[in-house]
Amino acid sequence: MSKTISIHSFRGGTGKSNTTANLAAQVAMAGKRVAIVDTDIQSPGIHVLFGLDEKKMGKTLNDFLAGRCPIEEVAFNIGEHVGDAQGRQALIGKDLWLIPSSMNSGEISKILRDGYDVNMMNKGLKTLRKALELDYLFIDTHPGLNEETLLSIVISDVLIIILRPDQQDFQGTAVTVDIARSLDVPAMRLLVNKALTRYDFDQVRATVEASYGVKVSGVLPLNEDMVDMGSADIFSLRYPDHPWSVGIKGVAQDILENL
Amino acid sequence: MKNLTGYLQGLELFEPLPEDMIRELARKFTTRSLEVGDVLFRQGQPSDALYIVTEGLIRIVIAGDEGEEVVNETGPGVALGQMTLIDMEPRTAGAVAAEFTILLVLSRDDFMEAFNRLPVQNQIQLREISRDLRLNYADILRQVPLFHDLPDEALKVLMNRIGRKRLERDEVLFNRGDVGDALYVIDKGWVKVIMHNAEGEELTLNQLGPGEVLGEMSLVDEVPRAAGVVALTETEVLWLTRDAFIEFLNEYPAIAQIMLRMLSQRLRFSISYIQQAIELSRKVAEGDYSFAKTEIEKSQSQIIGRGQSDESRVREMLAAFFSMVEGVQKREEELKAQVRMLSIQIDEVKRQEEVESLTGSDFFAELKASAKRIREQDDED
Ligand SMILES: Nc1ncnc2c1ncn2[C@@H]1O[C@H](COP(=O)(O)OP(=O)(O)O)[C@@H](O)[C@H]1O
Ligand SMILES: [Mg+2]
Repeated sequence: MSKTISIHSFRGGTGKSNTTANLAAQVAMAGKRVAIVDTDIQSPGIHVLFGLDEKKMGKTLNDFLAGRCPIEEVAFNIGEHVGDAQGRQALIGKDLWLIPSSMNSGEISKILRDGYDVNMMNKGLKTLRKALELDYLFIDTHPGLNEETLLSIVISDVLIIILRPDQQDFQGTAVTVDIARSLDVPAMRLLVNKALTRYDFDQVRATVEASYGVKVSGVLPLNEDMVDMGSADIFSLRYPDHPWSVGIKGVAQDILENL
Repeated sequence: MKNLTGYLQGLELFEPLPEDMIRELARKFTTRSLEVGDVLFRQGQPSDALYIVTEGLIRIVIAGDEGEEVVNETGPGVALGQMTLIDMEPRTAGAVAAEFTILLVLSRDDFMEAFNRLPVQNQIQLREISRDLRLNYADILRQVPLFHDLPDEALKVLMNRIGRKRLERDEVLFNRGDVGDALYVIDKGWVKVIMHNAEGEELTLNQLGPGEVLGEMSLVDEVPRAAGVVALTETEVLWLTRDAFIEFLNEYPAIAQIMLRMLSQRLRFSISYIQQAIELSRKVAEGDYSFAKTEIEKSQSQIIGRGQSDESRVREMLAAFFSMVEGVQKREEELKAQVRMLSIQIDEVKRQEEVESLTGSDFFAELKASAKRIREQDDED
């Protein structure tokens, strides 16, 4: 039976795309069949981490939503096209797919103007899970709490909310947790990203868990090396021993064992 | 020489003489010129005059296995024979003109005539100075770590190979990149050790004064000078050429053995220091800084009162390392002290308002109603 995992954050720039890509990659490395859907239609980004650009990506989620092709045609097989980044070589032969969103500004503004049929999205994802015999479907969402995001929360078995240890994220995360509870999400996790190393991570974890009553799956450090790498690769595959990577592997472990 | 009286007053040997006697002696100086190759005096001859070079160049030579060896060169402003004038000891080296040279000459007879007129007290004083002058070389040589453990006898012989060089202010002793083929010991005055940066600006790396040794290792192996040296003040250095030193070792193989032993001791010593530094680096990597403070104190007390030997340089390097460690430790402690405790403040009223505004929409009600169905549908697959 496949699990749908939405990665969400109240504000943008928390590291959603990087976290989604690394989690999906780590779960695929464990031998699972995994797909990622980029539902951040307004500001797609995760494809970059897999070395895709507008030319290479072919059909997009937008084509499917516009009724121009079946969803299976959109799925890009990453295990067969890892590109030349060093870390991604580990993914050769793995069962990992990406359903990218269009980078085309016309396509983006069309969706923003007309919206899309949430039922169609839902059906598409269902088809995908069956067609690719997925163990896990990861959804990289648009930040905030718009209708599309609420839908992705509804269809998720697990909701992972990313927050930075920053007062501005705390308030929005509280609202998101409440909404998710109201929608009866079966399982929820918090993931703290970009934590300054001068924090005591254990204390951060305990404080966050106590404040929201939600389990914290990991506290990941602010990672200058990731900024350096500049979205060119899957960080945890390139630098497997880096504290950030160790943290993300812990989250992947949590998913594989408990969710 | 513009002012011979003034010059003589600066010589150690004339120090105890009353000024009118110096004036009188200055008038006794005669001039002598030498053509290239002319011998001024030979090694082993009794000392019978004091010479002051005013122009040209004199080579100091000693008898070697294969004829004469040049051990030094002496230019204008240098007095020759001060040391042995009173005692009339044999010249320890010969002197030959390397260029057309003009010298001022004071015969021993003239000097002794004046000397004998001095009160006995001053005569004794002068003899002591004369002896000190000779001992002085030995003392200065003892500053060189390489010579530190040489027996007196060996030093005495080595003294004969030592030359003296005067530098005017701003005069260059050697430039960076020059062949290092001599050892220098500063006797009087100060020099600066310099390099030039990429923009060609001069950087002073160090200032060295009396007793400090320059280029010790160039006696053992010839390497280009790593930095230039320029006189900061009027400076006098003793110098020993590599050739003269090798010659000396050839004559006294026993000394070569002593030095070999010393060098290998120093090598062992350096290696043990490097090992220590590696061991300590490992500790730092593990976050153990406890040693830094005690080591700094230890190495500081060791540095004091030593010359610029390799050992002390290694110690200085280690000392720099230790104080770096202390800095790292301090910074880490400061950071630790400010480890931030996360506190989370949530405005509960605002939170509730926002949740209500979201859940109040028709879309949300519909979604919530269908949520269960959507999920159950999924599970049928
Ligand atoms: N732990 C981290 N430390 C430092 N920079 C990070 C970290 N996680 C993500 N980033 C950087 O933050 C930016 C936003 O990350 P991204 O994954 O695109 O977030 P989102 O999808 O939430 O907008 C990127 O430049 C990324 O490299
Ligand atoms: Mg993103």
